[in-house]
Amino acid sequence: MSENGTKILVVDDASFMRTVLKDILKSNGLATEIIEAADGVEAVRQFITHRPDLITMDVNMPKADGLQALKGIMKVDHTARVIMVTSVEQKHIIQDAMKSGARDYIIKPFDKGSVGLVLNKALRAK
Amino acid sequence: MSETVLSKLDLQKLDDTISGYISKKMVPSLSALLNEEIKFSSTKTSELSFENMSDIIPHTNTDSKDVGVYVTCNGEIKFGILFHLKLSDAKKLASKLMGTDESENLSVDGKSAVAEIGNILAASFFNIVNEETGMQMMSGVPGLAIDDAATLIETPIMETALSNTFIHSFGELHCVDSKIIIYASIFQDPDDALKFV
Repeated sequence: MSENGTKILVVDDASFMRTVLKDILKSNGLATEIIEAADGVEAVRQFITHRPDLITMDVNMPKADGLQALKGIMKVDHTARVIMVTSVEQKHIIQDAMKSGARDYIIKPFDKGSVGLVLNKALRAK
Repeated sequence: MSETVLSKLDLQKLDDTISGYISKKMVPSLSALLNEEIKFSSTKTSELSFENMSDIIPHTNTDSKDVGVYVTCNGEIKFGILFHLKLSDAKKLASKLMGTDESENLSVDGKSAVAEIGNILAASFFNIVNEETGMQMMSGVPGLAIDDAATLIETPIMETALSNTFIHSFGELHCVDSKIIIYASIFQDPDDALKFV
C-alpha cells in the first residue's frame, strides 16, 4: 500500500460502471484515492503516472481492450495488482487474463459483497 | 450467399432454445440490476426477408424517438442483439440506475448507464450460449443510438444477414414495478441460427 493511503485505478469505458465501482470502493472503505480511465490506452498512461495499489480493468473497451492494457501494465510493473472486470464469463478470456498476470476477476452485474472480498484479498496480497 | 432456409421445426426448436436462454440468464440479470421482478413470457422467431423488415418494428410510439443498444457477437457463432426502449423508458431506466432525474434529457452518464445494461444483458445471453454449446465468442462494444424504430433495426439486419433472409427472435422484458419495457431482438444469418438447433 502507498504511504498516503490506498490508490485505486478504475478502468471502464462506461462512466456508469466506473461510478458503480467507485461507490463499492467507498462503501467498503477500500480506497482513499480513486483514479479513472475510459479505455486501455488511458489506463496504461494513468498507471504510469499514479502507480496505483490496485487496478480494476474492464475487458471489453474501445481503443485498447482490457487484456491489451493488462499486458501493457505488466510490462511496466509485473507486480501490479490487476482485477479484470467482465460481463462475459468465458473461461478462455479469464484464463488469458490470469496467464497475463491478472490476480482475479469480477463479473457484472456486481454482487457488492463478493466484489469487496475479491478487491480486499488482492490488496492484502504481495 | 447462403441459400439455407430453416424448416418450421427448426424455427420452433430455435425459438424454444432462445426463449430458454433469455429466461435462464437475461431475466435474472435484469432483475438483479434493477432490483425488481421481470416478466417474460416467450419469444417469437421467424425467418424474414428484407422486404418484411417493417413487420418486426416494436410498436413503441411512431411519433417519438426510441433508444436502441446494439451488441454484436463474433466467433464460432455470429449474431446481433438489439435492445430497444421508448425514450421515456430509457430515461426512467437511467434515473433508476443512477438515482438522478433524467426526465428532461438523457445525459451522457444516462446514455452510458442504458448502454451498459444492454452490454450486461447481451453478455448474460452470450454466457449461456457458451455454457450450453461450448462455442467460443467475443462480444463487441455496445453502441447506443436514439432514432426512430425503423432506423434502429436497419443496422442489425444489414450486419448479420448475409443471405437473402435473416432470422429474427423477439421477446419483451417487462419490469413489474417501474413499468419499463425492454424489447430484445436477436438477429442471425440462417447458417448461424442452425448452430443453435
